[in-house]
Amino acid sequence: MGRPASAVTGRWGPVVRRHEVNDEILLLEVEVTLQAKLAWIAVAALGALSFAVVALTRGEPVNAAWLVIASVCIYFIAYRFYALYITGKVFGIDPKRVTPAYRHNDGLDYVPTNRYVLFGHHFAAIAGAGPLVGPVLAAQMGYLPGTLWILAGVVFAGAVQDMTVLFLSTRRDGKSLGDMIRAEMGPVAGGIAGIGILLICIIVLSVLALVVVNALKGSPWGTFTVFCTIPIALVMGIYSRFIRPGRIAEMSLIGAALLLAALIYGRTVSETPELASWFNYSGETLALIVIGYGFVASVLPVWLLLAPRDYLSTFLKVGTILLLTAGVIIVHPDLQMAPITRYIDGSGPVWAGSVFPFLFITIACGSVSGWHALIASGTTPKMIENESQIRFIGYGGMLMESLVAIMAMIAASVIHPGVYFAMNSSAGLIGADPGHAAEVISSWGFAVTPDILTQVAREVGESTILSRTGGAPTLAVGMASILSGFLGGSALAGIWYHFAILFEALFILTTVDAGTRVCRFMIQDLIGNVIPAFRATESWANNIIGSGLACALWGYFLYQGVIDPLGGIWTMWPLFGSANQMLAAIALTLCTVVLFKMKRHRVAWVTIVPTAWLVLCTVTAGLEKVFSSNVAVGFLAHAQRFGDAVAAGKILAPAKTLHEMNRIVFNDYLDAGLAGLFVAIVLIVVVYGVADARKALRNPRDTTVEISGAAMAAGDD
Amino acid sequence: MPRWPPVMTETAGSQAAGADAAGAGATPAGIARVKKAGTEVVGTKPGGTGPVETEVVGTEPGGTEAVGTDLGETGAAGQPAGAAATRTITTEAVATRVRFVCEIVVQTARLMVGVPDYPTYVAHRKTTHPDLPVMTYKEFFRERQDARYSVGKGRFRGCC
Repeated sequence: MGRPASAVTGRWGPVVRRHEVNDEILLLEVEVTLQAKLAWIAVAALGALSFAVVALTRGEPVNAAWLVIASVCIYFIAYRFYALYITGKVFGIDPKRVTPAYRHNDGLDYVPTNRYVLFGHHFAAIAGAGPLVGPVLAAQMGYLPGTLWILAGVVFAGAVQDMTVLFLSTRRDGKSLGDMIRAEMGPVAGGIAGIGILLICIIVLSVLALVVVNALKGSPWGTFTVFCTIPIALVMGIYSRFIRPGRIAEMSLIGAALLLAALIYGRTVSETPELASWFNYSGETLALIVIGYGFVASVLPVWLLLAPRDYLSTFLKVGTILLLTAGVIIVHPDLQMAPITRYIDGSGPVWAGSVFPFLFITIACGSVSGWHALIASGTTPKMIENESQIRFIGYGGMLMESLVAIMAMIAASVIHPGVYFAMNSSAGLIGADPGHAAEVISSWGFAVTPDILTQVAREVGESTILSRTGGAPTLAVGMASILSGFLGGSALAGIWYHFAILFEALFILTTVDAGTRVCRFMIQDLIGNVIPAFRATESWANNIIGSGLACALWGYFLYQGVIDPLGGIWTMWPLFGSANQMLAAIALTLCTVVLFKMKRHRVAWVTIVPTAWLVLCTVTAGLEKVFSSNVAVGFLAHAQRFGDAVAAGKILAPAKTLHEMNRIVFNDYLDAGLAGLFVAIVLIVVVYGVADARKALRNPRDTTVEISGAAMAAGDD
Repeated sequence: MPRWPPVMTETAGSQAAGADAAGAGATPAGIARVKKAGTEVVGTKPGGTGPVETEVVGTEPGGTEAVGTDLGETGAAGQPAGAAATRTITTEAVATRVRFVCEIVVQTARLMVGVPDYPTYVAHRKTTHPDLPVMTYKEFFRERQDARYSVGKGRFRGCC
């Protein structure tokens, strides 16, 4: 029987009328109403106007509101037009196809879930330290280059990657990225990608831990509150295990209340010298504590320490992001940082390297992040109700993440540029004395007085703000200035600063715990190929050896970063960024191969373009990090220079002893090796990808290994 | 041949059944009702002269959309065109919608830390495996907690 035309629309969307006979769509009429057209023209005009204000204003501060409005307009347009084009024309989304949530519904892993609930889950899983820290570091070039990359990157690369991987995984029963690479590109490409993932994991953990160590060193207030999270988590863990099992809300409220108490009492601790001395540590000591803590946390049962901290950090993270967004909108501060600074030439003190390619790897997560491919192929595809929601969750979720990055960029740009550079330049450059630091920074063209530097430190309750590299403290100062603008005034600036530090430290440490477990399982799997007994994950001996190995691996890089006289972030952030972007390049290569196999090669440019760009950026960056003759950029050139000095018996700043000189040389070679390895991994995967795509092109038929909708609909469960 | 997938009805139905079984304090019947209300709202575009007026709900923008069609399947339900335009706002409709939004928020918060909806689980077990035992909430919670951090089951959590 024929059915009358069914008309469907969203508020601003087109009217789609379907004429169906026996479930076959005979005719699909799409009509965009005049109202909708006018609305979209208005959005585009508003976005263009805001962008013009941001980009063209010179000499006077631009208000942050323009940046937010421009970004949001771009997100809406990208979501409505580009994402819809991809799901419709490129993927060929089929709303009638059974999703894994229905096919394997078990009420546990595979559950059809309301799309708004799932959006929240997905966003909480992808949001983290990356989008907050990267833009802060990129602000050394001014806010404009970073913002442009965040927006262009998310629309054409990041969100496309997230959504495509989610789409592929949804059509493959929620398979992981590694499994999909093995299935679509063969075991060799899969194995190489697997090694890449383990290496990336280790670099990510060490750099994130370094961010925490840099934020806490010499800060009794911050250290005290972060230490307090351990007993608080234990209390929560025992509560939810034995006293009131599974009462997440209760235990989270108890935890949050205790955390707030610790945060407020932290001021007393920092102002009482006897107490403060208990929580005042050097970077080296903190690094060892973090490594030891990571080991203990990954060996202990998860319900005792890891899970409760995870709950706290997840809620705190989402809450703080909402708070920051609300703060930026309500306060709408002026941006103090220039749109473009002189450091676009690559001589910046925060990290070395010019706009291309280094800006594009410094901001990873806010525009495109390989990690999201792991999450988009993890739990989310197992819960998606319908393929038609892939755009909302995959593309929309990443747009939200990008907005977080814009907020971080704003937070870094609202503080005084002199303060920004004082916080983010290593002690080797500006020294440890506010007077000297102010002089050096003023000589760079960012006029600042010693008074401003000491006053900011006093306001946030710290002894000094100099050389607090790693992004987190800068973000905390920016957040404190925004949040105290509408809640509490400058009297609460110290609380807000330490709140921001606490929130970042908490979720970074949770990532470190969880990541150590992930590394441990991967190591066990890898070694298990040789010694099968090592694979038994239940064994205590294996647990301790595996966790110890994992901690030793990331701990080594963390410790080297902490004692690095150049400032660990300066050396290691480019490694972190390129690792993350390389994972994205690998994921996008897989997406491209699958589109070719689906015979969609005519529209595969949507993934080819971002893949090519990321490969270009990461390979150039990797090769420059290894081979550049510029000592500030190239590891080998740097090693050469210090090696020559050692041979001549000289000591070069910032090293102070011959021993330090040797260590710098060794680490240079190690980092060069890693960067080279990343380049090799991504190139091998790309070569495999090109070969697979050519093979698919020759084959006239669809050769994907997706799970067919019709066949599976019959055999339920 | 059954139309696929019957998202609305199945989800709402299973939630209702689940809550009955578990005796949870949620308002699953409310959800089902709201969803039905939502389908009425959205499916009835008279003739395509303009976007559907969703003024029916004035409470929460999130709520309005949450209730909106997931699939656009609703038009096929045979709603007479123009019915929505004459619908009035009742306090009961608003209340159920607020409850629905609260429910969504709570479910989101729980899923963020890896605990899916328990009533849905119970309903699923009762309908598909009536002969097998169902985990209590305590067991369910522990199972989910362990599963969230075990990589063996294919979970992979990132950093950013």
